[in-house]
Amino acid sequence: MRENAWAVVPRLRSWRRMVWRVVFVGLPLVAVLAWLDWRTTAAAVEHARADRLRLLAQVAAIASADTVTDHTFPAVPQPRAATPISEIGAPGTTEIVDPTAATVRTFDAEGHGTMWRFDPAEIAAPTRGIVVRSTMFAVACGLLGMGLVAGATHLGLARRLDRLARETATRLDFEVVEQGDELETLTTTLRRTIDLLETSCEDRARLAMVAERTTSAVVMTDRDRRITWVNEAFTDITGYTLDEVVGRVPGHILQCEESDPATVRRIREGLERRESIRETIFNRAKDGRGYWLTLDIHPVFDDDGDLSGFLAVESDVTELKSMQERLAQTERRLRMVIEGAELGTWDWNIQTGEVVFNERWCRMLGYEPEEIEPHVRSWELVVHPEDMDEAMHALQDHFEGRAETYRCEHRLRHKDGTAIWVLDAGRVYEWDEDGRPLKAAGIHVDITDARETALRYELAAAGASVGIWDWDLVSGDVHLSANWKAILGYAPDELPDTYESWHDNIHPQDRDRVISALERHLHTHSPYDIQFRMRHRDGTDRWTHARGQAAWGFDGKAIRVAGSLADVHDRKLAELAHERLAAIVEQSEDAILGLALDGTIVIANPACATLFARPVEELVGRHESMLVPAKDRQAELDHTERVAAGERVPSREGFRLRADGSEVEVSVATSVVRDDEGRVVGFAKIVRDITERREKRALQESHAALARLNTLLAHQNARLEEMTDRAHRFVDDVSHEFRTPLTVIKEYASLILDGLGGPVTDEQQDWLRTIDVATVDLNTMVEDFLDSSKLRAGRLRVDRRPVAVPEILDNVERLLSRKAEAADITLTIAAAPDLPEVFADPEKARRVVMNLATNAIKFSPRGSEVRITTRRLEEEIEISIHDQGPGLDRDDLATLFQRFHQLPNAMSPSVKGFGLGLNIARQLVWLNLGRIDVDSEPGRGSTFRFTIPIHHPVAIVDRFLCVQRQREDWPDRLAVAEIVPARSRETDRIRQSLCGASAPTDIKIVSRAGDRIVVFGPTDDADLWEDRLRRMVADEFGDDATEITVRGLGSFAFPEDGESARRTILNTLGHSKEILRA
Amino acid sequence: MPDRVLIVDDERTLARVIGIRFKAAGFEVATAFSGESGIAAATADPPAAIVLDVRMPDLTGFEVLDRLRADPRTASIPVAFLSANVQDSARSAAMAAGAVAYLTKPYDPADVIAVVTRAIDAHRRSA
Repeated sequence: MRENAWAVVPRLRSWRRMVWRVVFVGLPLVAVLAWLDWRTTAAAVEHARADRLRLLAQVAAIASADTVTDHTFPAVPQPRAATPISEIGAPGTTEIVDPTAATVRTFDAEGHGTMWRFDPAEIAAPTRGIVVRSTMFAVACGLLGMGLVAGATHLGLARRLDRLARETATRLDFEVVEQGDELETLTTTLRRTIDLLETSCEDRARLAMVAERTTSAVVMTDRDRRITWVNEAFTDITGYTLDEVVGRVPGHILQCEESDPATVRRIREGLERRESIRETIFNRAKDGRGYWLTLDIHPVFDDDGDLSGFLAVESDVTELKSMQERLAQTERRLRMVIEGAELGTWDWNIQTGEVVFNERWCRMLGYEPEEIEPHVRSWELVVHPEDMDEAMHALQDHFEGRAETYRCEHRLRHKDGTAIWVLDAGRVYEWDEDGRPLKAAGIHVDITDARETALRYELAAAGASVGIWDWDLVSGDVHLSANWKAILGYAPDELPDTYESWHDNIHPQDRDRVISALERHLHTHSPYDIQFRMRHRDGTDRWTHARGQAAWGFDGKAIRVAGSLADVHDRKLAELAHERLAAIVEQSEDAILGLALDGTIVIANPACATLFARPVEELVGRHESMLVPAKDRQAELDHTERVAAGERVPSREGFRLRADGSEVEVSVATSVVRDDEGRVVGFAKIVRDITERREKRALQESHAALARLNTLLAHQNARLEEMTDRAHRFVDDVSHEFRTPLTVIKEYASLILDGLGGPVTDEQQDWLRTIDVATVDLNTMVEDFLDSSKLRAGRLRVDRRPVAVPEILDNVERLLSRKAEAADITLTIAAAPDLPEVFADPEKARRVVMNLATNAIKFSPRGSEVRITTRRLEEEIEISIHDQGPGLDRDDLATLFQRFHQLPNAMSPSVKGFGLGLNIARQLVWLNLGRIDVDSEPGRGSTFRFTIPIHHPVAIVDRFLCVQRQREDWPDRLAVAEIVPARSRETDRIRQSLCGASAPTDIKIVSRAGDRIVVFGPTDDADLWEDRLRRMVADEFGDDATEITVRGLGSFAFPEDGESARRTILNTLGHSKEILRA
Repeated sequence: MPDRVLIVDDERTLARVIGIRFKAAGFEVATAFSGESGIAAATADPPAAIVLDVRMPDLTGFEVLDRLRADPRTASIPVAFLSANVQDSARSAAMAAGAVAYLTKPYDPADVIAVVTRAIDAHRRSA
């Protein structure tokens, strides 16, 4: 897919690194392994070990010790951790005790010895790299031995040597190529030491012995270069013993045909010039074995300055040489590998910009080597512009030491215009003294295929819930992975790899959003990372998360886009739920606090600011107790602890403090907050201001209390009513039962009086008459008493109707005349002729006449006259009762009509009565809408007058209002209603029912004509009253009465508004006048 | 032959004393002490007039009157109520029911005899 360059997906870096390692690091590794291979040859190990042991043996021979302590010497387990010799020995001395057992003995300043034993197994065991250093160590040991021999004054030098040896060893460990130089340095040091020793050490023999025991071959010659002495190491290296070489010239013995003649010449010339010489030369040993030798030859002068001979220290550097050989070989191999692996290589002179590109490098881009200018420009020209920055950064990092190597993946333009991906890696191999890079080299690997494969692999491997999509914008090909289809509920072969499979399955509401996001990505390179709903095969919607990356051609147009699709439905739902929850918390009017276990406020929603009158920021981090007044803290704490203990605790009511110190009444609902593992990690508290609720509740409570009271009252009322009913029934019964025996008494007395039981004397007649009058009085008294109580209860039924005046008077005349006769009073009733009908309850009117007349008779002296007269006034009839009694004084008049008022001066003191008569009379008069008054003077008799209204509605209204004004217990509003029966013949029946036994006395019928009845009475709600009238009539008549129409005509205030009330009623009646007249 | 008056009242002493009055006035008297026995007596031997109490244990005077009116043998017999109930409404109801008079206790014996005498005369005239 070279023509479709892949964009770098950042997440793939780690994988890319892997590729790099495989391709690039692997190759240098070959070299390293080769080098290690050299270093680990058993021969080398053995060699070094032998050297060391030999040296140790020689040192051991130097001295003996008197006291010995055994120690097992740690055999340099780590190169850099080896115990410095300077520390082992200081400030005493060291000796080798037993070369085979590798035992070293050290002495302190007082000569106390310590034995250090090297375990031979351990010496063989250490890592192979140690061997080289072991050699150096041994050398140092040897030198130290010499130093010790030379005396304590040279201990410092020995330490320096040791340090040097260690540093050398360290360097050697890593920089093999420099070993030669290090050896040189070492040798120089050695030479200097020897010089030093020569001048300072008195015992040359010991020097010789030291020389003899060093691992380097030491050769001493006379001035003619003939050998005078060689040490054992010489024998080891060359195979020749001391005896064999004494007197001979070293070069003659050792040099061979392969020895470099130039070197040989340089040595000879140096010797001739009596200079110090250092050369490396290939020689052959006695057995014909070839070896490389580094020679350090120094002229030795005697005290007089004459040349006495030469001292040569010769080191076997065969192994070094061999290593160099191997290195060269490795390099050759590497080159082959590079060629074989089709690696493009570059070798860049950073200062000049010149670059050597290999053939592969050129061909990788479709060019012939000749077509590529060997300059860094060539690279710069083909790098994809988008990748240039990254490459430059990577270079910079390496140049400035931040990265060990330069490594970068970028696109290069192929000759045919397509992009190829390369891994570009290299390193600087030459720096100048200031640390500036001079030369660098590296490789190019074509990883285009790898990247493509990698992307798909990566995405596919990312998890079962991730689907992969890939859309070639040039060809239109779409690839949808099996996972992609699985997310939508399809098997791989059930959904075609088409654009439509994607487009059509996006939730319609999300489609525009998704497509515009993708287009934005293709045009503006903004990230394509979007969550949307896809339609699942089962018809449900699934939340998915798509990410994608396009690749753009050199013309900037997107050529391909690919990415992943993940099913995030559950997560998204959880998120949405969480968002909703968060929104609820945000929007809640209740303060919501999140608390840590210790009560620290962790979260506070905006409502907290309102409730506590503090900014939310001020709350978070503080302890909850700052919000709780002291008096409520313990209770709050208990509440919280109960919740924490897992109890189901109802919300509690308490208090919270506001910033200004005021308290607010709240309800607090607390719940525990748990982490994923179910541990309680804190609390959530919902705090609600219940001030209003509390007030509301108080109101509700008082309402409820009122309702209860009302119920109670209603109940009491019902009971009272029942009791009253019973009382009245009782009164009725009493009245009834009382009359019968009374009648019996009266009748039998009357029988005797009338002579039916035999002759009666005059005296007996008088007595019997007294019985008769007394029974009548008793009856009147009882009736008065009962009427009085009924009147007070408002239960005295009134049946007003148009009635003729004689109808009232005729009935009373006979009763009264008998009384008058018994009291020797002349009763005269003089009714005016042609009186109009009155509107009244005749029974009540009759009672009034009886009452007043009875009183008149009672208080009149014998032989006097009681006169009853009638006359017509403007709108009423007046009935007067005159007597010639003692009359009443002013005081009497004032209290005359009160209940239980006893009139004085009764003519028949035996019968007193209850003093109810006049009170009842007045009330009965009022019931008939009349007036009553009295005109009296002491000694001149009395005249009681009362009126009854003429039957005329207007007059009645006036009268009604007038009478009511005088009453104290009357409501101050009146209502007027009109009852219109469906059939006019019903009018009388309705009227009768309204006036009947069950009718209340507070309803007044003011007109009855035609088909209408206008009524009015005390109430402040005409509508309710209207309803009451309807029910009342219905009760009386059954269902038929529902055909009546009851119209509330309004209610009006009374008595303040008496005049307008009157007018209202009269107007109401007005439309009935025609009917009335008819 | 004197007219016979039936007096119906559960109060026996009262019935008796009324009876004495009527006898004294020249009437033949029969008495009954309950509604049912009153009806039985009236039906068995229809009197010239009946004086009827309203409130009795078994039947009210109004019920008795209705029963009497319903029986052709007694339908036309004049009936005068003698009641302890002085309410005008009760009087109206009695008159509406077809009583010839509504007298209240305590009554004037002269009134009772006058009313009954008048009623018997009126009844005879109309018959």
